Amino acid sequence: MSEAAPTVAEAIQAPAQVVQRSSWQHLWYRLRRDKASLTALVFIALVIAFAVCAPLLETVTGHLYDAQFRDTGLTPQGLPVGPNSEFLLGADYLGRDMLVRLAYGAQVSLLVGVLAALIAACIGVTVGLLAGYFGGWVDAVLSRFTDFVMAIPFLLFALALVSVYGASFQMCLFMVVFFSWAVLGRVIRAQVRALKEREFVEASRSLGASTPSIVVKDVLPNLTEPIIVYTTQLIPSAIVFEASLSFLGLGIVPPMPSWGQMLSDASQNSMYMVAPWMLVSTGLMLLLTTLAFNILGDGVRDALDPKAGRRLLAGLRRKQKPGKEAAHG
Amino acid sequence: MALLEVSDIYVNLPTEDGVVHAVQGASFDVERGEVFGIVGESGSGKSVLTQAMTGLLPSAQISGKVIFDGQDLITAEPATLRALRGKRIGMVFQDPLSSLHPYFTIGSQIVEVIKTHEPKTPKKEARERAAQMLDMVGIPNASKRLRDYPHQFSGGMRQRVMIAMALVLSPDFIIADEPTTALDVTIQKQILDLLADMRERLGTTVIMISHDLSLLASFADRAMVMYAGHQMETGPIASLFNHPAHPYTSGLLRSSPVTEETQDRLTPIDGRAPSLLGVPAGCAFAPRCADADERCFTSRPTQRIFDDGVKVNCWLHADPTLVDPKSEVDDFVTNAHDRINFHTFPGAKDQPVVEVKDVHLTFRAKTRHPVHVLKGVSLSLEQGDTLGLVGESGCGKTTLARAIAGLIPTTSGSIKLIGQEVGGLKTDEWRRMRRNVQMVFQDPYGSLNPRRRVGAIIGEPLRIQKGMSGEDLKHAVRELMELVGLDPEHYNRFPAEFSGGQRQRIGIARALALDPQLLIFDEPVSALDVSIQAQILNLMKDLQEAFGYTYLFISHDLAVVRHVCDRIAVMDAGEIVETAATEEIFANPQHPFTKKLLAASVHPIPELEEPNREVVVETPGPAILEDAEVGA
Repeated sequence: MSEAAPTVAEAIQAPAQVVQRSSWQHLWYRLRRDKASLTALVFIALVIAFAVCAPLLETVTGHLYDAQFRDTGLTPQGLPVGPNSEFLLGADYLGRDMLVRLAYGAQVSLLVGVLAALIAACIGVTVGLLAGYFGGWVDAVLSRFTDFVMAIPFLLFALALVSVYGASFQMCLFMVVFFSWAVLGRVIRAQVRALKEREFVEASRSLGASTPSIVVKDVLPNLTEPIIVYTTQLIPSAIVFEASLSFLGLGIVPPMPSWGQMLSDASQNSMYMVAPWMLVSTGLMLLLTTLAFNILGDGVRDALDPKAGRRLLAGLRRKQKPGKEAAHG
Repeated sequence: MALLEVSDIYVNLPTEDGVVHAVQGASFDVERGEVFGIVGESGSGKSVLTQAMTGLLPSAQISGKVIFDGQDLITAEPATLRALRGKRIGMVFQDPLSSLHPYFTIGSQIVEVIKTHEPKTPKKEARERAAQMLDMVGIPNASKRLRDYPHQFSGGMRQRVMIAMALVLSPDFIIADEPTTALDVTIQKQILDLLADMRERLGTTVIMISHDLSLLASFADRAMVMYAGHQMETGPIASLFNHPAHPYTSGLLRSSPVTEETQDRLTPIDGRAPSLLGVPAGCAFAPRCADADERCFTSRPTQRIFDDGVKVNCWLHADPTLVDPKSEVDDFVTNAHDRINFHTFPGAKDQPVVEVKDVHLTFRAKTRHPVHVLKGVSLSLEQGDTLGLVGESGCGKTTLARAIAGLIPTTSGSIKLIGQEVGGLKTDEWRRMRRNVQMVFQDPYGSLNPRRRVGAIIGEPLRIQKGMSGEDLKHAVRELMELVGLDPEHYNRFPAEFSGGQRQRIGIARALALDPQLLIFDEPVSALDVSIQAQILNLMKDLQEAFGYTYLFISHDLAVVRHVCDRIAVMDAGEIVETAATEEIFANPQHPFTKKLLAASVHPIPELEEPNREVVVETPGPAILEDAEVGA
C-alpha cells in the first residue's frame, strides 16, 4: 500500500462498503465456516439420497421391502442371517432385506419429519402472529389453548386416539403436528409483541396501511430468523416423535417400514441378542439423522444470531495468538 | 511531566467483515488537573481510543504507547490494569441506567468499589465514605438514599451516582464518555457544572468524550478533534473555536446549530463518513474537504505544531476555505412542480391547517394511577407555517404529535385538520385524511422496515392511498428519491445499506410521497451526527420553500429549532407554557421554564484575539501501519 501511491480516483474508491447480505446469503456465508454444520448438512443430503433411491435399491437387490426370503434370509433354525453379499445389512426376523427396509424407513421418517415440522411451523406462526399482534381476548384464547396443548400428556392422548380411530400415516402426522407447534407459537407471539411497538409499524399505520398489510408486510418478514431456526429444530424432534409412536405400534402401519417399527421388531423377543444388526443399523441411522438435524439447527441458530460475530472473532484471535508471539518474541 | 502521554496509538478491531481501523496514530498529552476533550462524530474512534487505553477492549489489536504516570498501559498485565481502573482511573459512561446494576442498591455498589480496591476498609467506614461522596455530588439525604435501587433515581441523579462511584477512591483522572448525551439539556448543564466543581475541589484530571464541540466550549481546557480514526486537530479550546486550522474543525463548527447563532442556513459538510475497513492513502477527510487537492488523496498530511500549542494534521497551509451552503434541492425541484402532481392545497387558504383546542390525554393502566400526559393543549398552524415544539423528555410533545397524526386517541378536546374534526372520523375516512398529514420519525434506524427494499418503503403510501403500481409507481418513487437527494439507482437496496442521514432522507421521501399539507417531524435530526444534521435541516427548509408545506417540528433542542422554525412553542409537563416568534423567544423569553431551557442550551465560547501563529515544528504525520504490524 505504501509503495505504489494510488491515484486520486482509486483513493476515493478505496473505502470499502459494508454490503448487506440477504439473510439466506448471510446464513450460507456463516454456515460455510462451521465444519460441524457442514458435515451434518452432507449427512442429511446422503440420507435424502438414500431415501429417494429406495425403489432403485429394491430393483438392484431384487428384494421388495415386504418380501420375505425364508430360504436365503433365514438360517435353517429360522434365525435372520447377518450381513453378507446378498443382504448387505442382514435380514430381519421374517427374512426381509434390512437395507431396503431402512431406505423406505428413511422415506417415512423424512416425510413425517419435514412435513410435520412445516405444518407445525405454519400453525405456530399463525397462532403466534394473531395472539401477539391483536392481544386482548384473541391473545387470551390462543395463549390458553397453547398452554392446554402443552399440558396434555401426549402418550396417553396418542393411545386413546389410536384405540378409537386406529393407526394410520395421517393419524401419526396429526399427532406429531399437534404436539409440536406450541413452543414455536409462544416464541413468535413474544417476538410479534416486541415488533409491534417498533417505529416502522407505527409509520405504516400513519400511512394508512391496513392491519393485514402490516402483519404480512411489516411483521412477518422480520420473523424469518426465528422461523428458520425453530423449524430446523422441529424436524429432528418430529422424527423421534414418529419413531416413538411407531415403536409403540401407534404410528405407521406395517408392512410399510418405519425406523421406530424396525427398532420395535429388533426388541421383540430379544431378537437383538441373536441379530444385533437389526438394532445397530436402524438405531444408528435414527441417532445420526436426528443428531445431524440438531447440529444443523444449532449451526443455523448461531449463524443467524447477531452476537455470533463476536464468538467468531474470539476463535480468530485464539488462532492468531501463537503466531503473533513467535513473530515479536 | 504530563499525567498521560499517548503516542502513536493504533487500534484495529477485527470483525467478520474485515479489520476496522478504529484509531490511526493518535498522539496527545494530558496535563495534571486539566480537562481534555476528545471530539468526533460517531465512528470517529473516540470511545474506542479511551477503552483501548484502559484495557477494556480485550479483542482489539493495539500498538503505540500510553504512559500513565510513568507506566505503559498497553503492555501492562490485565491484573495491573484492573487495579488501576477504579482506583486511579475512574470512568463515567453515557447511559446511567445500564451502567448501574439494577439488582443492587447504589450503596452496596459504591461500597463494592471501595472494598475491591481497599479490601481492609471496614464496611461501616466504606458506607460513610459512600454517603459523603453522594452528598458531595449533590444527592439530598445521601445516607438514607444509599439503600435505594438505581430505578428509584431519575436519569440525572443516576449520572450523579455514577460520578460519585467514579470519584469515591479519589482517582488521578476520570474518563467521562459522553456523560450528558442521554440527559435533558437542563440536567446536562447540572452534570457539567458538577464535573467542573469536582475537578476544582479534588484536582481530578478529566478526559471528556463528546460528539458536541460546543458542549466542550465552556468546560474543557484543550481538545482533540478526531475524524474516522484520525487525529485532525489538537489544541486549546479557544483556538479551536476561534481559529480552526483544520477544514474539518471549521466544518464541524459551521454545521453545528449551537455555534451558528443566526437564523441562516447551516453549512453542512458534504458527503458522509468513510468506512473504517479501508485505510486511506492520504488524509481521511479529503473526500469531503473543499480544499483538498491531489496531494491530500495520495499521501498522509504532515503534522504542524504552532506556537499557541495547536497541533494540526493537514496539508493545507492557509486558513480553511469557507464554502457556501449549496441548495439541498437542486434544479430538479425547480421544474418538478408539475411532475409530481404539485397542487396548491385547495380549500386551505382561509382556515388553519391544524387547530388543536384544549386537548387532554390520560393514560390509564389497570393497577397504576392515571397519567395525565397532555393537560389542555391548544395550538394552531396556518398554511406554510413552521412551528417548533420544544420541551424535555416526558413533557408530552411526542404524544401530542401522535395525537395530531391520529395514531393515538385523545381523552378530550378537539383536533381539527383542514377544518375537519378528526375525533369522529371512521377508519376509512382517517385513511383518506392521512394524505394530508404525514410524520417523519425520530429514529432513522427503527422507522424503516429492515426487510423491505427502499423502493417498496417509499412507494408504500402511493400504493395504499392512490393504488399506484408497476412502472408508474417506480417512476414516482425515483422522482421522490431524487427530490430528497438520494440516488434513484439505489431503488432496490435495503435500509441497512444506507447511512443514518440517508435513511432520514428515505423517511422524508416516504412522508412527501402523498404531498401532504402538514408534515410532522418528530426529532428528525437528534439521532444524526452534526455534519449530517445540517444537511437534513437544510433539506427541510428548501423543500418547504419550494412546495409550501406546513411543518410541525418537535425537538428537545432549542438551537436546532431556531434554524428551521418561524415560531416556537415551549412545552413543559403536558402544557404549552410559551408560544412566540423564534427570535422573540431567544431575545426575550417570558416563562421561567423557557429561560431555564435557554440558559442550559447556550454555551459561552471563550473569546480569542486573532493570533499571529507561527509553525514551530513540522513533522511527518503518523505512518500507515499494515494490519499485521498493529497489536504487537
